[in-house]
Amino acid sequence: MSLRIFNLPAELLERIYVESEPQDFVALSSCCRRFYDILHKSSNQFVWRSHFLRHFDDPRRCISRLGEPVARDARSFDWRGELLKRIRLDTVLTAPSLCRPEEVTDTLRTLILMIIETPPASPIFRESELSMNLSWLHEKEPGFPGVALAGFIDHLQERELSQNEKRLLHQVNSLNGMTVADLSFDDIRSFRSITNRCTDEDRSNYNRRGPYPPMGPYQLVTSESEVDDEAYLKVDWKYIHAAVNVFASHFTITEEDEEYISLFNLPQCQAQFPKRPSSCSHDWAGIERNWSLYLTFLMVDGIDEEPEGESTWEIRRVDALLKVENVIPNPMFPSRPTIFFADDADVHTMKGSVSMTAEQEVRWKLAYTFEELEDGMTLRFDGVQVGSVGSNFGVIGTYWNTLRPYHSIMGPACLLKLRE
Amino acid sequence: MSTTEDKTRKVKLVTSDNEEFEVDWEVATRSVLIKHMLEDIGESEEQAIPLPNVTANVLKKVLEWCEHHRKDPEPAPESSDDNRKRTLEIGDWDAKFIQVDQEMLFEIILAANYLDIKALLDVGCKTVANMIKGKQPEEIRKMFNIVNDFTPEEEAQIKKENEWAEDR
Repeated sequence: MSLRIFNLPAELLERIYVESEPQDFVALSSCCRRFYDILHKSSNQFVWRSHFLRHFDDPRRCISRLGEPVARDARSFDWRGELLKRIRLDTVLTAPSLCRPEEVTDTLRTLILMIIETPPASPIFRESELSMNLSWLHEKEPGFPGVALAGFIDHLQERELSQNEKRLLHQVNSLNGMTVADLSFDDIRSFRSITNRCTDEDRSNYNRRGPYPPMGPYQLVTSESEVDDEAYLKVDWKYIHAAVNVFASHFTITEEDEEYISLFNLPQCQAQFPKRPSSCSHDWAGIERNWSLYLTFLMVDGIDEEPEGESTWEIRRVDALLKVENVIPNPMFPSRPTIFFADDADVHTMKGSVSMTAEQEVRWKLAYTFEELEDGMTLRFDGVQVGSVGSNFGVIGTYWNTLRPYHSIMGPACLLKLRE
Repeated sequence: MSTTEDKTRKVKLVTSDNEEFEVDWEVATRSVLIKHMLEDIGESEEQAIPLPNVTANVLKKVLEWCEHHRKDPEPAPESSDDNRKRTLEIGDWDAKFIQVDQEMLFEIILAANYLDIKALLDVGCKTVANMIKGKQPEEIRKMFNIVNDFTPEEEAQIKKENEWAEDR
């Protein structure tokens, strides 16, 4: 009897599957029952796994944005399912119009997890440590880094989307940094349109309900109770997206200020371990480092009128080395207690806390007191950790002056980790 | 163990159909299996290595490949089962070498696997991968003479499972 492909042992067929493109090995596996079983009944999904690992980060080395392992072992990860999602992603990133309305949500969710769940890098970032997910997304279009993802984002911006889809899209856009559409973004006008959303009635409601900034990084979701309850907070990604645009367009590339180069883009989302571990073993948020708080001041006359001519954001920076002061258990997240911190100065000018919201977002609150100013004016900051805990992306939010009426937001603010 | 003096050493191989081949040590040891067997038997040069899973016409072809690739660097040991990087494309010489009928192609794949010659196994598997590129199951069945043993219901089910591959 002459030798045929059918007579090859299973391990050699697997090798052929590994050498073929997914569409092709799937066609081969559909030829007969034996070939089908070799592909599908392999308990460790060898073929799917090999193909997955060729392009993407090994989930066994990835951590979630809270620093937890994504997959403990090969068996706890659906290699086939995840590879298929990414093959589809490849298709819609290349040709955004192919993205069907019913798959927008899943596509955006896949993107967010791909961006957030990556392997952590060492304190001194080596190029070999760059996440394969992020470079895949970044280099999809050879020669035009990031164009495919940005193009996809801009394409979806033009579509009719549900509230939830819009929210996910703003989140992806925040993580990706500015797109072509964002480049023509008029930050002052856009910011006003976000803040104008809040009516006087909303403001009085917010005032009654506790210390939520009415147009800040969080929105209050309907709450029956009148008490301050973080369970009713949801991140307002539209706000975060607009704030990222303000900072990204402000921190332009200049020779002398190299550290400002691309502060808000995909590679910044990857977590980096600190050089020195924190003094506090409960510091899950990586607080004990040097941070810079950036506060924006809108330089425009007549804040309530349409700005005429040039108006810009001026940015002030305050540096601080933060130290953990106290830890209080959070019953909803036993391994993620609320951490209280202060700067390391003799007389604290910065104090704050990091806590988990019910939505599993990491919320940073901070009070900054200018001693040198009249009345010891205090500014309050409220922000969202956008990238992974420990990433360079930082915390984006808003700040306001406690001396002014509560709802008078002063502008976007961010807290960035200083390079070690 | 493998020093320069081995370069002149000859190795005797005996196929399943009792044909004897005498080849240079450097050529024979492209096969990790033969290399290990040689290490086991030591310096007794006269001893022939039996290869009961390979016929003469296949070994001849395999040795032709080994001869051409005798100076190639030692392949790196396979890091793990997660071979992350796909091996390189088939080179020109290899592409010509592997232009054989289907039966010989699969014989070479089997022999390369048995003799543990990873680079040749890659050439073989990649060649099959190239043959099925862009083809539908029915075309592949025809090409390789595979009998479709699915029921129509199963076939419909599989087609549904694989819709993602069409929708591009």
